Amino acid sequence: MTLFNIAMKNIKKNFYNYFLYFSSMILSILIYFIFTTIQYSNQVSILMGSSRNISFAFKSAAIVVAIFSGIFIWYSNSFFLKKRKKEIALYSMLGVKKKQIGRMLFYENIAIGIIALAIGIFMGSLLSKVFVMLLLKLMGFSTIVKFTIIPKAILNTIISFMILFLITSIYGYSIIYRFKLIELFKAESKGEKVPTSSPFISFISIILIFTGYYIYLKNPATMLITLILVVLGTYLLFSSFIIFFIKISKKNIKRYYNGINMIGTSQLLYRIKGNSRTLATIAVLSASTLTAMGVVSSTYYDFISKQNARYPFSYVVASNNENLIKKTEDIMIKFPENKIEKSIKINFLEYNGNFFNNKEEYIDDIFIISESTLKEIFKIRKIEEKIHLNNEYETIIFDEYYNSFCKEDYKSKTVKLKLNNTIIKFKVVDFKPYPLINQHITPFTIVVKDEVYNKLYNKDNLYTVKAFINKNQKNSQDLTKALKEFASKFKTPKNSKHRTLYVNAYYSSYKDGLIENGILIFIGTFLGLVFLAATGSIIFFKQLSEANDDKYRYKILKNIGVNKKEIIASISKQIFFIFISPLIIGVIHSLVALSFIHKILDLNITIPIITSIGAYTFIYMIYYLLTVSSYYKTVNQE
Amino acid sequence: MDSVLIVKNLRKIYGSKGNIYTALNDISIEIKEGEFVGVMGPSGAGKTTLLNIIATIDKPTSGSIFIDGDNILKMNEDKLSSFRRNKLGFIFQDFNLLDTLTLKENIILPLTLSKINPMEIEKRVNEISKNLGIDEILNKYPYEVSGGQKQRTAAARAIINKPKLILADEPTGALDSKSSTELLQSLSELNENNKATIMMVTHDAFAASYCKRILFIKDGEIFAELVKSGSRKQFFQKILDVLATLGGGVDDII
Repeated sequence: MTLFNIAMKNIKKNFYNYFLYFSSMILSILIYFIFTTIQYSNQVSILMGSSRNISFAFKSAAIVVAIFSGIFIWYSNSFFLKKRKKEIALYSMLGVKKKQIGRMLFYENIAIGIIALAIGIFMGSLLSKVFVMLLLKLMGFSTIVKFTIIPKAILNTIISFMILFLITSIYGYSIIYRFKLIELFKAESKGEKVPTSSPFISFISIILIFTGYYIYLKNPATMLITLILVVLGTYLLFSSFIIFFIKISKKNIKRYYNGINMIGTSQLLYRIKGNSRTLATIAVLSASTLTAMGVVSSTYYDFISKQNARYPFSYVVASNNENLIKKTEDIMIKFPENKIEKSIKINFLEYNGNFFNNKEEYIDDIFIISESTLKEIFKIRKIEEKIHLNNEYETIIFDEYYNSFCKEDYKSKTVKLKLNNTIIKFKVVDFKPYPLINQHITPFTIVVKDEVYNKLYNKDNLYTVKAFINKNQKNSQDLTKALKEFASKFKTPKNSKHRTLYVNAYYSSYKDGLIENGILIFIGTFLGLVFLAATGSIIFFKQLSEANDDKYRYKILKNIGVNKKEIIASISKQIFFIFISPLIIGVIHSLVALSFIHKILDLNITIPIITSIGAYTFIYMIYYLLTVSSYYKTVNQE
Repeated sequence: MDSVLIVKNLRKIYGSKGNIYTALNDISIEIKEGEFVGVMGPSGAGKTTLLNIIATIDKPTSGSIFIDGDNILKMNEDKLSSFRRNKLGFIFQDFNLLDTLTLKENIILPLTLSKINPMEIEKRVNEISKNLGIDEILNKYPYEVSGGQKQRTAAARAIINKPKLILADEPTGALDSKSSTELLQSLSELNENNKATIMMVTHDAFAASYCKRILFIKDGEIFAELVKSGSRKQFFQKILDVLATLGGGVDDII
């Protein structure tokens, strides 16, 4: 029997243990392969036009997958080696040289790697079409893609992962040399002592985390300090506070003296020390995954829910040359599927103005419209709200950049307009935090009485736009392209503040948003999946190796008359604690981190956050169930 | 007095066609309440098989067993579990204590599983640990105490739920002579004072001499029976005599 044969037999025999590791690895390879395929594929970039370069995003994502897989494989390998200490010792006792054992483990590793790589790439090739279609669908395209295999992507995946396997295998090889025979034979956990916990350190861990939270909530710019405090706090929390917590829960005799609680709790306490670092790592990892997923889904939700409010008009054409506006209208007429349904011409007056509040002073371009024009716009936009200015000193403000997080309320503040040398003051009676017409046209607009408007009217300060609502605005690619091409023909003179002809299109922003968010969601989801799979398998391994050591305990329990149901209940409870505690900490961390996003977006992001946490928890719980059933199977083995 | 254990025509055969090994052959035993019965015999005689079957951990090939009037062969696994918990107490050679629990927790484990009131639990554990002389070390963990203390803890656990029958499998096997004597004394006292019914498997003649009656097994059959009369020393001598005729080898006797 050659070393290679033994290696193969070992894999077969240990397949059950390797299974999750193996599938997590395949998942990583699959995702890596898909990312690189998209990176190299020209199908996606052709669809999106050459101006955009998405390959960078996918390349970066692939690198993140590779780095993470490297860490995961490394961790799993050292874990497996520890678990197989006795087996290795036995080989040593039988006179197999360390060199040979090392080589055997090396073969095993590489063989598993090659199999995983083959399956991953095979599945990836089969599924790449599905994945690309999914990406395109998320980006708002509905084209059929051809099935293509990109040799470059296959090669890239093979090379990257072979390097990872080689490095981790060499590490495994080196571990053999560091083992001492006597150590190898020592049972893993004989005489493990009940951990001590320090109330002081427990207290410190809580303080650290809350200080981190507090600093961050006060000023999100201190993210790095918060990160350090919270990560440190989390590690201390798991190494001390959790023990403290379990010990305190033991004091509640009524609960503790109830059936299986005693077994589960003491078992937990006994194991927690060895688990604390893993648990803290998982809490931190979950927190980062959840935060990333939360950010991605919130941005998407923000885009979906605000796009129509940001771009109420299909097109806004700005030019002080009436003739050009007319010509763009002529172009629109040529596209009957995007027929003009409504349109309005708006004459803004543009002045320099100061806006005062109590502390600060903003100087800005201020666009002015009359009350009657506003009423017309509202009619077209179907805004039912009644608008009324009582006198010529009152005004209503539209500020599309308003954000309750960074700006103060405008109400009952004063706006000063500079007219040559005179200053006119207005009292703000109402303000709207959304754009009057489309975004980026007139960011800061004030509404005044018609008489005031007429008084201020001056040809030099005129800024004329025409806003259109067209049919089928979500499918107006060709019209938008035609309009933009037309606009680009006119050069803007150097000293002019505004472009000669500017076309602002709902479609462009909508498409951009879809593409950006689609890519983000795609990458975010699959990265999250890779992280989650690795996290889940790490807890799984850890629990299963404990199950092996705990076998005899469960045998004792069985002997003294603990029935199946009680044993399952005890195992479920105990493992539930192991799973749920890092998840809870991770969720809390991520919620605090996301509170900032909530503030910037100025949007209720409960739905996207609950969705992403829910999805995460759901998959995480599948790992929990898998772990419980494998644990039970292990301890129940004869 | 009632019979706690009735074993009738018990037979246990291992293996299948062509390669059959009879571990127990037509064994019948009856143990009455308050008895302290020893089971002796050379290695491979079938002592442990017998004990395991009575402990409901193993199943016989044929025969019947009644414990406290219940036919344990007709019970499903769930019933057996609660039966073990409520009617039987175990003391094993290697203690079988959970190292994750304190001695006290180990002792009260059967009671907590039966969801007994915590006050009652405290009361019973205090009483029993005093009787067995381990009340000072109740909050220690198994790895912190001696073998004798561990075995007395196991004994405490075995009797805390007031079982009908205590089964002890080589309880002195891992103990030094001083600890052995202490443990046997304790078991004897439990039997005398608390009327505990004990069945103890051993191949140590000294340990067996604490019993009131001894069954000798050889090659899966009951070979002889000895009832205590006179002093323990005389009984010990008698046991040695029987063992000599058993011919199980000198190793097993001493």
